[in-house]
Amino acid sequence: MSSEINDKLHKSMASIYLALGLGLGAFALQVYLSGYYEAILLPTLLTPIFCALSIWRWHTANRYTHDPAAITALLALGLFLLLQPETSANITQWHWIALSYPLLAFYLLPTAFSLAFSLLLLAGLLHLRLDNHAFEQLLTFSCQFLLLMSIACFYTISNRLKTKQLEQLVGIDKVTHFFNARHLKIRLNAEVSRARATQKPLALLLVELHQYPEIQKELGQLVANNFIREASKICKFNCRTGDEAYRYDAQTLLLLIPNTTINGALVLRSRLYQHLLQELTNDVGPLDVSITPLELQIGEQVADLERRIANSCYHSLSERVEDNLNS
Amino acid sequence: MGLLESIRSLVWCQFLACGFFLLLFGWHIFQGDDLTALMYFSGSLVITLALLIGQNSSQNNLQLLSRLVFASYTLVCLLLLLVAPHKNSYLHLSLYLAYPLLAFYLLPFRTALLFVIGFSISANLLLMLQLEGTFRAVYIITFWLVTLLTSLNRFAYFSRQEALQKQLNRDPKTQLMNQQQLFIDLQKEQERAQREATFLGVVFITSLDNFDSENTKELGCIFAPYEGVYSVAANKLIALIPLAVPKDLQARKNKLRKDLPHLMLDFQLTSAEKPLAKDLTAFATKSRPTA
Repeated sequence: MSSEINDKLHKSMASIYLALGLGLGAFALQVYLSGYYEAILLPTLLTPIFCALSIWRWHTANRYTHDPAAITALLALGLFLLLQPETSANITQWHWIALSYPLLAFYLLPTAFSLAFSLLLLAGLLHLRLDNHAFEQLLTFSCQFLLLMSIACFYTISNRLKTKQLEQLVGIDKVTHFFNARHLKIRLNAEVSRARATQKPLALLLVELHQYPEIQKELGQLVANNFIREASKICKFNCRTGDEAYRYDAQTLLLLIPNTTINGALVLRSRLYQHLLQELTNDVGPLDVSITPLELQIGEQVADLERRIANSCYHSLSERVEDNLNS
Repeated sequence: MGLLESIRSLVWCQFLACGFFLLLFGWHIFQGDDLTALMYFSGSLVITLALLIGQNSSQNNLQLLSRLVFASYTLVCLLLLLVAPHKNSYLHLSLYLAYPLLAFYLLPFRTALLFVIGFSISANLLLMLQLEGTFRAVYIITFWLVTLLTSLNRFAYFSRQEALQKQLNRDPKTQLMNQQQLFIDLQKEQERAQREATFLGVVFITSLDNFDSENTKELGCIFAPYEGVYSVAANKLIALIPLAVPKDLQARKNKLRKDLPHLMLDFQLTSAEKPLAKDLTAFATKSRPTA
């Protein structure tokens, strides 16, 4: 779920890198025009780096906890703030850019790394740039810097916290509008206890769309989403009253069919299979789908059923075999 | 970082920010710079209020208080720009960079956006008058850049949170299923009861106090996992109870009245022919009972 936020944010990150790149470019031009050639090296060197980071982030969303593009950008900006020769005797402007650094750091990299970068920059500034200032001034500057850093830190944490809390409460998959795997855990517990209390059978169908990863890779996320959305519509259409549909993982849908034996599940399976073959098309070849029926065994616990569901998925078979071999 | 760690870090960061605000307030009082000291003091009030509100931002009086405190902070910031232009150090101006962060943290998105736009325009005009030279250009560019970045960052999170709110099928406070899910499940359970020739009972639960996640955990032990409990208002819950025969409702009634003596309970037996949606909506919107 957190990668979805990254997908949404990566273009705004790219814009920030571009803005910084353009800013440095403009600064290099200004230095060149004013003839202060000593100060031209760093902005000229960093402008293409920031532009490259911008292009990278625009095309690819971050998949790591600590975004390498953000780390590069923060390192580059930190070095620039510490090593760039001063263009005037009045260094107030460096104070400003340095004071906005923690804010920028927490936008680009909302992790403990930003905190470390900000503190390192403060130490560097005090040692390299502000060493000839009075102690009082150093103290006020440090307090101001740390105040801004703590505001940026709690602002970022609060944003992430609220989003995380909402994500943990969401039980519906946004693409298929089926319940998600988190909700399945709750419902499976309810349905198993209901099946026990009413002494009625409980079955389920695992619908695996094997071409989903290939479509996602070759035709993009949008086409892959449409593909699974169409499959979910067909599944929903074939569900009976009281049946529930879930998105078990990226490529697997699960139908929970209460009051149904394995024979009933097999009938539903063949009907659903025919409908999928007739109605679901894709651009990577003939439809490759497997539908596995399962039934709750007498005395089976919820955890055992969950394990059996996980072990019945064909697409994760190779991973399971590998895990078994490793263990 | 886990949820609990995030909450802990958040509280620590707030304490830290409040501490620095108070430290700088004390320093400026010591320096005899009362107006700047007042700005830091009002900043510390903003953070204290944020600490008090915590995760419980739904109360109307707290929301009103936060607006008032933030409006006073804004006024002090602008007053400082208006009446104390020539100072030895402009360091306090850096706090203006954090204005949008404080606004978006404390206030709802749209109100915060209004504050940020109003403040940015007023501050920009005053800064144009008060500052001069390269410093004016650098400061105003940095100020607008940070304001824009903060607004964009907040907007990205806000749209994500709005999208999640739409997908939500649980009440964040009680962690129970919400009213939207109740209507979906009610229809499904009624159809299922008809198909399986069983019955469906509905329990209307009212409390004098609001429910929270702790009370609802206790309720979870009383109801079976397949008996859905839904939150429809702060002090009202509804439970759907599948029944084999209608007389089972009487047994459940007696048991629940014994287990939950402090709650007001009403029971109803449903059928597909008898739509309940209106009754449920009326129950959810009915005013709070008095003790």
